[in-house]
Amino acid sequence: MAPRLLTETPDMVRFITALSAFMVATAAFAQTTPVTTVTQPLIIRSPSDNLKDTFTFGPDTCAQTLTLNWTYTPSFGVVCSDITFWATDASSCGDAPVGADVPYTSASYATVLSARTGPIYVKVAELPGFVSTTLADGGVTSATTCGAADTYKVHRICGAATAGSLGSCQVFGGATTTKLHASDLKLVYDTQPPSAPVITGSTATNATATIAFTVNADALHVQAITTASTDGGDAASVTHPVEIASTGSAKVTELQNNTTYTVQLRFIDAAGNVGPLSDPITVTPILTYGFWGAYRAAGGTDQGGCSISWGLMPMLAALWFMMRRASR
Amino acid sequence: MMRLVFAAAALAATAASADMVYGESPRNFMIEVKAGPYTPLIDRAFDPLKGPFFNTFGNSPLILGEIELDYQIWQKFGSVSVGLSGGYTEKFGRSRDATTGDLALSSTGLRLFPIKLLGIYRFDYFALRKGVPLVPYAKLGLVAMPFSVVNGGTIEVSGGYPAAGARFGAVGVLGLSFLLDVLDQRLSRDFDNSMGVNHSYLFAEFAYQEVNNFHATVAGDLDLSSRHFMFGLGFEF
Repeated sequence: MAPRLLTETPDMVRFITALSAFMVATAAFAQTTPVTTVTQPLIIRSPSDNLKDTFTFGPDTCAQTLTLNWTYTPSFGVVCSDITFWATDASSCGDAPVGADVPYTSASYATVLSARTGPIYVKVAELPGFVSTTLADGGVTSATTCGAADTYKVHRICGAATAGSLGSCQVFGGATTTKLHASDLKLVYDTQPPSAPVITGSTATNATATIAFTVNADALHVQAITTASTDGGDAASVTHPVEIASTGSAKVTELQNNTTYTVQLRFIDAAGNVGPLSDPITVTPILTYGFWGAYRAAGGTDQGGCSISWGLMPMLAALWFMMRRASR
Repeated sequence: MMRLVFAAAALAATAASADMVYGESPRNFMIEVKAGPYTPLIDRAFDPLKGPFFNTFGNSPLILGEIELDYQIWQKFGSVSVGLSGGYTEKFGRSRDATTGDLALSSTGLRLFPIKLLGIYRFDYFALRKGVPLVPYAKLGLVAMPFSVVNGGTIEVSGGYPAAGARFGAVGVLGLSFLLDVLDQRLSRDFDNSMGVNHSYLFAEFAYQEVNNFHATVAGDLDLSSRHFMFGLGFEF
């Protein structure tokens, strides 16, 4: 039988046709569309905490210029151009600054390859949400002034560059046009105080009161304010140290037993905004004793501790003996 | 009764074939996981029905959980091992109002962390050579038992003495293991081939424990002695 030519093989023809179509489609796709969002190689963070992707601040930061860091770590995705940085108050960064977004100094391709890190200087008061801009039609966008009360505004510090993959900036059909987006940093301006806590229960024993409350996602800390009721009227209020609010429970210590206290709580959010006080409750700590008190009251003479001379010594002696035997 | 006799005969027949018929992997260790009811004899220095333990926690026992690792140093007519075990148990009750003696809203708890250094003899000759799936064993050892008492979430202090420390003593254990291999010998061999576990045991043991600093302290000191049963699973590997 005469050998069949490759082109005569119907399966092979179908394979070559399909492969050609795939290569053309891939090249065209790579030329026209930013198809991949790679976030790991490029991150923007604060030097004070490079793990946090969100920083919340209040009016006292408005006059500051924040120094942020961008860091480039090549992996499957590589940077193939200068990196552009900007701030936006939009809900996502996009590929490049648009409209009223505030651009920052770009990092040159040479710097990206050599230093792989650099600063971004962000003037808080000039973030896009705080600056009025003139529109193309002559109108002016209204903006909140940094420092205004009762405001919640989110900005993103963004970065983007042209990206290649698997260490190469070349793809079928020429240079890559894929965009590499930085893992952005959110700057949250928050002057809205959290709501008042809702107290759900309390216990008070041994100079301590434990107050349960409904957890509020906006609250970072909870703080108790107590006022002792005395014969001559209410004493001065005492503001207690803040506690973590996510536990749903605040422990108020250093109270006087058999004294009635009015207790109120308030939340403090991550930006330091202090919320209103909760409805008051009253607690009266009493002296209690537990098992140890009951045991000693019944005549128990134990004083705690380890009684090393008569307790630990035999065990140490046994261990020493076994180790000595093992070493022989 | 007939059923019992048949069951015993079947077990014996199965067990008789459980002799060493395959090349098993070396065995050097035994690990035991066990639990059981534990009531410290704290009240034996007091009127049992007016003792502080009974008054605070009632008469139900604590549930003690322990894990023990033994290293076999001799294998011939049975095996001799040294072992170390650690455990934990706790019990909570209600605190009392210091003025009225009434139950308060806060809780009080006793926490114990028994640690034991043990010498063990297991008479596994008949189980491994003659197919009798029962292994009696005995353990002797020293006990260290750190403890703490909390009241309202913090270590309780009474008379200026914080309720935390450790008591020491000795323990003797008698136990009986049932060799689970006889129930499914193929599974047992697979367990050895794949995981290196030679034998699995179900066991019950009785512990006679004197944890009162070897009686060196005076009556009235916290006595964490006990007489209790433990039940568990053991794996020899």
